[in-house]
Amino acid sequence: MWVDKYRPKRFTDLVGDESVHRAALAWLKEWDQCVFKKRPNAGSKRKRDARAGEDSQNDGFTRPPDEWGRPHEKILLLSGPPGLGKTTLAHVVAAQAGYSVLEINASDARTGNIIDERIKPTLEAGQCLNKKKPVLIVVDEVDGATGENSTSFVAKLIQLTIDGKRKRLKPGEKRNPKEKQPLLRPIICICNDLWASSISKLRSIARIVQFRVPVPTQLVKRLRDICDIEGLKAESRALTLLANVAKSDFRGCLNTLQMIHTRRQEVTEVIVRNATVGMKEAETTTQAVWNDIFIPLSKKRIKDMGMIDEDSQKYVNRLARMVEASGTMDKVMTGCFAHYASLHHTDPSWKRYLRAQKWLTTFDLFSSTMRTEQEYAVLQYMPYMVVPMYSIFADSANPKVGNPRADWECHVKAKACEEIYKSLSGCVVADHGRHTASFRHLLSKEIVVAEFAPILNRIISPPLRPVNSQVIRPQEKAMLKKLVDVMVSLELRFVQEKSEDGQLMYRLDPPLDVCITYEGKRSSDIPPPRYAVRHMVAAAIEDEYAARQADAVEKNQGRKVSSFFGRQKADEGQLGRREAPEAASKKAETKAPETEKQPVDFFGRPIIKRKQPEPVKDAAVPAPPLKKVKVTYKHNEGASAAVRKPIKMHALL
Amino acid sequence: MSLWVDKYRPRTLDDLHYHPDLSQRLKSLAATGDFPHMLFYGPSGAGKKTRIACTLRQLFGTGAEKIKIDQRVFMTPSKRKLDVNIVQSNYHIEITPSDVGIYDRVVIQEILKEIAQTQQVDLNAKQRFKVVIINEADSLTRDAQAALRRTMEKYMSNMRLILCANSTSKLIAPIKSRCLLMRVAAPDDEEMLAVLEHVAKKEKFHLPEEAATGIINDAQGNLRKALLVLEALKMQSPDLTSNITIAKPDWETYCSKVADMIVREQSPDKVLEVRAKLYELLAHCIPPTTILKTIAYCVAEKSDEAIRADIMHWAAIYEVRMRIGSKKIFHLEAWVVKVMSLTKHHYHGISLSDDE
Amino acid sequence: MFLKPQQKQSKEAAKHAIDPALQPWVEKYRPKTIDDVSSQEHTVTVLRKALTSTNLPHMLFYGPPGSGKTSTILALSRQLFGPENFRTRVLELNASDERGISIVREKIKNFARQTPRAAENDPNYPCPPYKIIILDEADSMTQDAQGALRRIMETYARITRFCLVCNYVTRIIEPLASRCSKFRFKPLDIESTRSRLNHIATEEKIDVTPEVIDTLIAVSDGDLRRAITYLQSAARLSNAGDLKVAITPREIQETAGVVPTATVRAFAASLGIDSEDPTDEMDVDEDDTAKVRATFRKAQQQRGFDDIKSQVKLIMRKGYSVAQLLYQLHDLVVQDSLITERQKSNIALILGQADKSLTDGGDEELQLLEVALKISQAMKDIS
Repeated sequence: MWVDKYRPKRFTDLVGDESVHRAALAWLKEWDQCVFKKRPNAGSKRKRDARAGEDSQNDGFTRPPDEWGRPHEKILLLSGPPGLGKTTLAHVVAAQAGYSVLEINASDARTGNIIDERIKPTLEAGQCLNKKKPVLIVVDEVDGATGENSTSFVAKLIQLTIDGKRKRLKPGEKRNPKEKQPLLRPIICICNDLWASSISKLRSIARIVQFRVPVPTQLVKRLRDICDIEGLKAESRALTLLANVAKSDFRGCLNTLQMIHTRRQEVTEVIVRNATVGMKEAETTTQAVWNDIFIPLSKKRIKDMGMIDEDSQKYVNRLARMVEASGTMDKVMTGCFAHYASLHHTDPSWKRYLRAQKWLTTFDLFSSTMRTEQEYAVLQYMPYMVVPMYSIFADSANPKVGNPRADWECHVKAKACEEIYKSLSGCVVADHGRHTASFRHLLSKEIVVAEFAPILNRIISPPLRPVNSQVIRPQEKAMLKKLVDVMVSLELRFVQEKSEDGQLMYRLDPPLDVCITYEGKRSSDIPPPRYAVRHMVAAAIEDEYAARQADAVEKNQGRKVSSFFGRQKADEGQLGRREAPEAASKKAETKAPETEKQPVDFFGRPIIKRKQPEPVKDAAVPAPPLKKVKVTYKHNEGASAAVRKPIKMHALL
Repeated sequence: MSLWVDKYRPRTLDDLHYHPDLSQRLKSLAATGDFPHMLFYGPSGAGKKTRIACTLRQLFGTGAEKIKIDQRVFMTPSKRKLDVNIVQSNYHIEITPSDVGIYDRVVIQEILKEIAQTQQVDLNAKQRFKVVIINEADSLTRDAQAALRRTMEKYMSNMRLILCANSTSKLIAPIKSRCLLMRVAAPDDEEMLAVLEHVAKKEKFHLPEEAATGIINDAQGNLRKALLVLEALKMQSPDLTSNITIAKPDWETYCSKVADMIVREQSPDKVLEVRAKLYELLAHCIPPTTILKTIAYCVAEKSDEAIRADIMHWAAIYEVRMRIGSKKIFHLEAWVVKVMSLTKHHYHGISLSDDE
Repeated sequence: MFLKPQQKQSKEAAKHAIDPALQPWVEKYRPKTIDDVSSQEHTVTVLRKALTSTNLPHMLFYGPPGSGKTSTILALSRQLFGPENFRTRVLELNASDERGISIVREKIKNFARQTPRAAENDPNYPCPPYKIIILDEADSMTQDAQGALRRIMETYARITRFCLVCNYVTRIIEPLASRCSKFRFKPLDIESTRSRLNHIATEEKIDVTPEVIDTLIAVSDGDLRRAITYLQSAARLSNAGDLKVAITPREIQETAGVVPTATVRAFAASLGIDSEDPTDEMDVDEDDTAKVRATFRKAQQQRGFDDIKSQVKLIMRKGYSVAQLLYQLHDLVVQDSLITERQKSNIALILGQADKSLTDGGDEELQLLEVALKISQAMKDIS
């Protein structure tokens, strides 16, 4: 393989952007103090100055190395399109700096396990088996690592870099084997897509070196050199074309050349054109696909792609290939959907729209069925359902396609809405646990959404006047009482908070009213929420809660509640006192409507664990404003339902 | 205290207001030891769950009303964890399979097996079996239904199933034939009136006839909705006198706005506007079928008689496609475009091309 | 997963726990010998021969539900092995048991390769030296699982016979089907169903009128299991009360989830299908009929969109199953002599499409409306 034959062996062999190479080497050199126990001596000062000048954007060197003599960022992240020599660079600089390389790449399963099994032992040993040199770990294609939870590869990798909270070892002190070892060897990660979601966390802690696309002339020069060595006669134009088509993927160029070389001794434009058909399609972005679907090829593009005019007329295979290569067929189609109606054209008979819709819906049917039935054999036909869009809509006057957002936004909103409904259902369920009322029959999702919620919103917004509770009319009093009853039984409340302009306001919690109004408009038959009214209602609700809890405590007095909780009551009391203000403030913070997702306990965990042997306390802090802080605990958890009773704090103390 | 719809929900079979023969049957079935598996079906709001609850009470006494909610964790074959809320008393257990999506088979089998293997420990229990209630049984996957059919026979000795569904169309025949079918029809207008008046009497207010008719017409046989609306009305205008209007739920109003847009003008711009509105509806978690149905009825109402049938025809077609497909908005809009072009052609007198 | 003997025991235990009076009649009156099997003369003759020669091929039973497939193979195995050896010689698996490829590989294979122990000589039962594996509802096995069976069937053919039972023979992969001798079970004819039902009724000491039996036969459509289940449910309902009520045909229909004939006819009439006077056979909904028909008659004259819509809403409110209604509508249309052939085929097409849509999960109301509008159109078009 020419690719291997002409792979740079030494640092000086590297072609391309030198600053990039130096930045990588500079980072690696920063490890010297840690790995080779070298003091940063005067000899390297020159280098250091140069380095500081080069990668000022990284700003890495201004920070002093830490106690182990390591650079601040312990991971180097190389990113850039394929074929620019990222992996090569990693290996070359490693050799240059005197490391042996452990490479983890796509052929290894990049799960959390591999860190434990392979990387950690190697790191702790400090070197590879049977090798004298210290080890450097290269993780290739890190953006392809899967999983985003805590056990994922990337998360574990990050954990590696975080030192445990440990004191510096005194000489002679034994190291606790269970303690976490600090990371003492450099790690280089390589990715194509710097913005891939899977490595988002890695981005923030790593030093990033981005590869830039080299200018074609440089590439052509190198290609020419190689052709000369191999005795391949090459036209300049042919090489330029090759470099263009490959979009400076050097590896691709070399492979193509080698393939041509196996058959003939010369390289001409035509040969290159034939050889590069289908090359580089792996790189098509969704954006590019949209543009190609809606806008016919320009003369220049035709030339760039190494096609002749007749080829450009045959769009079916070309587009189908592109769509397939983009790998995001669903996204492509969503984009088409988002876009088609805004295109410029006249179509009095609507034939085009009907046709487009037919393809769109058919596509969706196929793709859904393919997924549910797991008939992936269908996949090969799918691109051809996208292609007709070209024949229907393509027009050179069409605007460029932007990323469609509506679909995603809708999805996000729906999720938020679902959460609100869920918390409403949660309230309803919680209620029935206490009062043995059974709202369950209202809880099926469709009923909640379509019937229960809209009508409930009306039930809880009666036309009350904001008056002092002493002078209230009897009729209104009855209404208020009823309202409070309903709201308490459903665990709805009004929560006071400040709006953006600093005005105090009461918000319904869970924010039911948000998810049944459309475009932010209130239905005309519901009176506008008035601060004073809600204030009055909120106060009444809190009173009601207080009264109920007092009842509950009285009922519980005779029981052995305290003995059950005896073990914990002391520290609970403390906990309560210490954390109450904190919790209150936290509660207030989390009250922003979009974060209103799930009840969380003191520790920010969502309250879901029920089967814990030890009753963990979660607290609702209904802290009525303008009153002194009142802390109420609710024991919602525990192994037995028998002790799940509301009690007051002083019953425990 | 609490909502009327719950407060005045009948607790025993004797309290039920309508379908006396059905109540009679349930009562006598509960009295014999020979209680079969049952399938309650009927439209939403007709009182299926109320009847089930009453039957349970008849079977087990008030103990069946003492309910607790447990959170259970199930493992799917692919080792995914599922958290499921389970409502149960000492005598019965309630599950809603739609909570767990495509893993319903695992959850149901697990629960049934567990129930079937535990004998009734309470010696005072009136029955030797426990009851498993499966809500929304029509949303069970085929897989789960197939798994049920054998289980139903196997565990007959200490377990009975009560299925609750809106319709039997989506249940496989073997299940239907193993259950005693109980059709709960929606109450007719007089029956609804009786219930509304019963509530009014208990709450000590007078229900004007006009308001009652309004509510009944609006509810279309859905008693739950009728009671909720009654309470909402009562809250908003306590005297319930003349010129009260029954507010449609916000989403319905919004749907009819969309219908207006479709009928009024047919242009690409309008398509985009309608799309934005459809997205808004979907974002509010309104089931797409409901959206399509509501808008379709509105559009049909506002359109010329000649194309009404076509409008509904396409609604029926796209509704099915929507169920199979995953991008609901594609199909909703496909229907909108179809209807717009139908309308356009109808009013401009151009006959529809051979496109379809 | 239980190993087989345990499972059998637990099942057996469960069965003992059931009071015989509460046992499903379907089980209680399962044929004890293959001679008791109704209405499948051909199959029975062949199997009887097999019984005497004690040589059995692999078998594939197919046919509509309730035609006696499972009963036949169970009865046959009982006669072959007797109650003692039945447990060790027969493995019965059906769709509710896990039957993925892994089960085929493990459970079935393990059972298949055991060499049967020589049984004590019981003169009453031939007890041939092989085991039987019954795969009930075999058409719901995956292709892969069926594929895995091929080899097992051949390898252990000497000591194990398979019996596949299914509704749709086409869902069994060809290599499997070709290894079996196929037996087609036809739907039970009316006379055998009637005699069977009468037999059960006498055994259970319940009063049934011939009309009730007729209704049962009509709603169960050749499926004896359904007919028996309905009979039991109806008997339960009528016995349950303090006072015994006679079983009425209407009761049977309600139990079977069938839409009352009057309602169907009236609905059809509102769509323009004006059938003959419906008082002849199954008109059982006496009190409602007049009222319902009056309203439908009125609707019939206009047949506008709104009327049809309100008819549909009415049906929906009653809670009837739309699939069932379509089925009955179909019967009505096909038997109607006033409708032209062309109209009939059009309507059949409409009904077929709607049924497919319903199976795909379509909304019932929309589909019914669609059918109603289309039929009404079809009736107008040509008449």
